[in-house]
Amino acid sequence: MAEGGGSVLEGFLCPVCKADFGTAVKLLSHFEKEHNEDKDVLQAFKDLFGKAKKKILKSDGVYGNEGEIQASSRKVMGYSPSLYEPQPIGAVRSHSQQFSAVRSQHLEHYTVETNKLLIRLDKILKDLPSDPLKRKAHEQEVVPWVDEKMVRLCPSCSRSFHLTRRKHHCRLCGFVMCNDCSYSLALDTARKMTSPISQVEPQTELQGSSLPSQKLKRSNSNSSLNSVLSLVEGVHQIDTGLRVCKECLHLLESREALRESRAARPILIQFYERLRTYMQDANQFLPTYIKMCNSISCGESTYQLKEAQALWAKLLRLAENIDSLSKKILVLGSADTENPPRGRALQLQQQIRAAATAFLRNEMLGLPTLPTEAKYLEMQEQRRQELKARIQQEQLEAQASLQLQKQKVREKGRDKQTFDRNHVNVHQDTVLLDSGWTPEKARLFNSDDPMVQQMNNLKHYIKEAKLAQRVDEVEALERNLEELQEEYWRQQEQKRQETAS
Amino acid sequence: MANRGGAAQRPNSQTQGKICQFKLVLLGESAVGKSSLVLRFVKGQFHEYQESTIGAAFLTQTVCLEDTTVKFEIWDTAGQERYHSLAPMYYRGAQAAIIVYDITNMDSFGRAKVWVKELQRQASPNIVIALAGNKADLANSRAVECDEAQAYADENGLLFMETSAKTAKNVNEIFLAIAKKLPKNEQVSGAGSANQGRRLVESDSSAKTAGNCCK
Ligand SMILES: Nc1nc2c(ncn2[C@@H]2O[C@H](COP(=O)(O)OP(=O)(O)OP(=O)(O)O)[C@@H](O)[C@H]2O)c(=O)[nH]1
Ligand SMILES: [Mg+2]
Ligand SMILES: [Zn+2]
Ligand SMILES: [Zn+2]
Ligand SMILES: [Zn+2]
Repeated sequence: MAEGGGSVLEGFLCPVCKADFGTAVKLLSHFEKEHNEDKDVLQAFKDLFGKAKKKILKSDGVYGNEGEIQASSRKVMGYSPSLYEPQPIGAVRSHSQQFSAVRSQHLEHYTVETNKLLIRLDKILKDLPSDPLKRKAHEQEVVPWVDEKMVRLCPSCSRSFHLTRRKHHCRLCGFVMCNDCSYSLALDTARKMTSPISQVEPQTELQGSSLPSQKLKRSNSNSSLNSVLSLVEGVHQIDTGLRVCKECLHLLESREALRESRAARPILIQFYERLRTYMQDANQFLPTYIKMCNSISCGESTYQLKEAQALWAKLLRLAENIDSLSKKILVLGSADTENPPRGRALQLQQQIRAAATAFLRNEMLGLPTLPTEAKYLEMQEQRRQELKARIQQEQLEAQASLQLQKQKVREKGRDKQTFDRNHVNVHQDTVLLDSGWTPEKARLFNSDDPMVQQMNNLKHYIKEAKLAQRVDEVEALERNLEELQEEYWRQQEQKRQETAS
Repeated sequence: MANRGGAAQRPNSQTQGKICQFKLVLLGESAVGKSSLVLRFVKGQFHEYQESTIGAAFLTQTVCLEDTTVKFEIWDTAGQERYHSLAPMYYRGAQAAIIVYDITNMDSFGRAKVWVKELQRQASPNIVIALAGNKADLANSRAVECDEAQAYADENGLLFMETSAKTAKNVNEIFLAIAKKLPKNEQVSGAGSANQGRRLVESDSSAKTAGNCCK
């Protein structure tokens, strides 16, 4: 908009005479009166206001007459894109660096403060004397107390201290506060806080256990619900527990909540993890089993039928486990009739079950079965016969081509020595043709011939299709690979002939 | 996901009547959205940063018509010039082709016409050809008029739709339209002649391929 460095006009300007009319209504009526000759421009102009109006309404979170507005903006779409085309984005600046700097500063502050408290807590708890006087001395040794004479009002509630509202010190920061503003941190809770993470018991209920803050009883106060609870036991505990201020307690509580949420492993997650290991095991055995099964079904003796049967049994067990565990996950918590899982939680459980059944259906259900012992022996025999026949066939062919070659040689009237050399050559040729260009194949992977690339693709696809048990796909892919290989072979042959001649 | 599950299922149950398998090839200039179209059709996905195809990608998808299940064996060819030598391998045996252009790119429409000519000359005479004007969601920057493409398609007997892989507009529709137009019974000859000139296959697999349809 700000073109050519000229001044920027703003307001309800008439696009023709550039006068400012102050309001949209005035401008429109002016435009209709003065520049009515062009209906289309007028319409577009009106629509433009519709669009602006819509924007304004949206940004205020007010939704006006949507239908009307949309209809008019659609008209704009059909008319002249130049009127509303989005502006290019101007200078862009990232604030994320600044944000993360501020954030890490903030976090660092918290971590440092919390760690300081934990170290102090640890020191206090170590060899804490039971005798009250000695204990006080010990506490003060770890955390020096602020001189109480300097403090005249409780920094937390701003009330003055007197005979019945006495001064107390926070054992962790040494600051002064009144009794109502202090909290008692039970010693065993404190010990848990300073213990290494591994000792935090994993929480096994689905619903999350009580928060640490509930374990910490507030000391005497008449103004909050907590105090009602603490009236029962808090008063006694203040003697045994550590007196701390709100800030210190808050830091410790946040850390504890974080720690607990990290250690929490709801039963759903435990079940799910077990389900995953079953699936992973199955995934690991499946290719081996399929390979074994295919090989055995061809009558090959690479694998033992017994091995394959054992693997089959293992896979069956895994399938059963996957089925039953995923069923368990599905109904998890539904026995709780008052508060059964719903919404997202329920959806998650259903989806886990769906994924498990899909896994069973796709991966396990269509598995090829092993032949019986008798059938296997029969197939082995059949294969042996086939192999024999093929070898015979190949020998016959080789002999035939040899004969042909001999004839040619004789025709050319060469002597016997040359013939022998030719004899060897003939054999090499036959092998080369039959076993499908092994030397070329080795070079395939370095080639940037598109056809070669595609053949590699296909081999990869075939492997995947086999793993996925997609019989039709494997067939189609193999057909294509054959076609490509043949085409490739034809081209190579052609090239060779071209260079030979 | 749920609604395509039905169509994607392997047609194991024979209760549905016949099952036909067809080879379909996608052709068109690079970056017009061929891979995006198939990916939308097969997986229901769309990627803003779809990688350019190398060689040809292979996908399958099943659609159910009234009494027939049609399984598409889809070859998504690479549009980059250097892979053109591969294209004949894929359209030769195909019973259907989708030629894709990008409605915001006039050149790609020109290239599409060249593909149509090539198929008319070289592919099976019975091949069903569809023309897809993709990226219909970008109608703002349209360079090829819908009417022009429709007229061209009518002249050449092609199916035609404007599609968007991004919004899924007309994606399933174009494949379904092809499925409906494909011959589904006797027409073994369609598949046979498509394969004509190719090598003879071994006895056992020829039995499977001969009736490319309705096995
Ligand atoms: N807006 C929009 N973008 C699309 C659409 N279809 C594809 N694209 C984008 O266009 C780009 C190219 O899409 P591809 O599907 O890779 O194109 P292709 O035809 O397969 O390209 P080659 O594999 O190189 O032949 C990608 O960035 C896609 O996200 C569409 O319908 N709308
Ligand atoms: Mg592609
Ligand atoms: Zn004016
Ligand atoms: Zn106070
Ligand atoms: Zn404190």
